[in-house]
Parts: sequence; structure tokens; C-alpha cells
Amino acid sequence: MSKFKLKISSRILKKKVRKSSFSNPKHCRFCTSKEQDALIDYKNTGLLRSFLTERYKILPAKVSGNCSFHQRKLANHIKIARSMALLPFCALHR
Amino acid sequence: MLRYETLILAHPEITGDEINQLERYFSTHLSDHKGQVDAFDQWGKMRLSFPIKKNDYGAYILVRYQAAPEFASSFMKELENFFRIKCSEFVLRSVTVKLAADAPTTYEKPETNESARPASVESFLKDNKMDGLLSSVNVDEEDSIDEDEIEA
Repeated sequence: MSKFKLKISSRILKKKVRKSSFSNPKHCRFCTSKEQDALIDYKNTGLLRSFLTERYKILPAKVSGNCSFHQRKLANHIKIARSMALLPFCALHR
Repeated sequence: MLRYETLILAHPEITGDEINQLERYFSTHLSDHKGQVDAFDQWGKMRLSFPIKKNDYGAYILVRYQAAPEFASSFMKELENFFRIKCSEFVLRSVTVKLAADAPTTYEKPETNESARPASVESFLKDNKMDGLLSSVNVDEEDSIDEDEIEA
């Protein structure tokens, strides 16, 4: 009697999906243009705000597409801006 | 000569004398050791992202200066002591950052927080001067729905 599996296990399906979703290479917008790199500053809240979620949490590099060097630089400047009250720490402050 | 900048968060009701005191401190101590003040910008009163010492507003002052490397570290320590001891009444926060030698003299000023959405229900009510979400509604007997209207 030949054994054949009627129901393909979901584990194998998920594994196939995971393998095929590697195809998006990250593009760091700060590595490509030096003007953008010079704009990373704790005073530049307009730029920094675009890297925060609605609740003012720092976006991970996976989502924003930054390389590790620029993600660290950006995160450090966001933290300086937070300490100087230019950006909030969290959404509910009052 | 290394370039630095210090951002000072001061009390919103800071007086002109106190600002002059800060400016004089920077110019005298730096010129003694062959440094110079590049810029002394006052951003004025801005809304803070969160209240500091019960103040919702604060006055920002940005000082850009150059100092010799041998002198810079001692200057930073004395500056911190100066802010903590002599200026503890009006200086709330300060941060000093090293600037790159080829960094431009212009910078982007931070956006104001005036148009920020209020964070909680209580602050929304306070801003709009409301007592509660369901303010007093007068229900008159004349406004009650007639049975004829419902049928139609």
C-alpha cells in the first residue's frame, strides 16, 4: 500500500513561504545621499518624527530600511531630542 | 580648534539679565583660552513635548562655539557646574554636542508642538474648556418625536 499524504502539513508550507520572502534587499536612504546624512540631527524634529510610530516609539531598521550605522546614529539623536523635550517619550504625557 | 554646540532649555520666564549672564560667561571664558563664540541663537518660547517642572513652555538657547582641544574638557566641566550652581533657577536642561569640522553653519530648527494632538481625554477637555464629553443637553418636551412621523 502506497502511503501518500493528503494533507500537506502547514509547517512545510510556512517554511516554503519564509524561504521565498528573502528577496527584498534593504536600501538605506542615508547611505545613498550625503545631504540626507548631514540632516540627521537632534534639532531636526521633522526628519526624526518620520522615524517614530504613532506612539513615538523608534521604528526598527527592518521597517525603515536603514543600515546599522545610520540606525544607531538616528536612534542616538532621537534620544537626545527626547531628553531636551523636542520629542516626546510616549503618547500619554499629561 | 574643535567645534561644539550647547542647547540650553531655560525657564519660559527667563529675564534679559539672565540671558546676558549666560552670554557673558561663554564669551569671557572662551576668549581667555583662544576660543570664540560662533553663534548665540535664541529660539524663544516653545511648547515642550512634556511638562518639565510643571512648565508646558520653555525658552531654548543654542550656543555654537570653538575651543582648543586641551581646554575643552575642563571648560565642559566648569560649564556644567555653572549651570547647576549659579543658574539652577532658570536653566532646566542642557546638552553639549561635538560638531564635525565640515558641518554647515545652518541647521534645521525643530517644528513647534502647538498643533500636536492632545494626548488624553482630560487634556482635550482642558484645552477646549469643556466640563465633560456629554455637556448639558436640554431636552424639551416639544422636541419629542410624534407618533405620526414614525409611521410615515
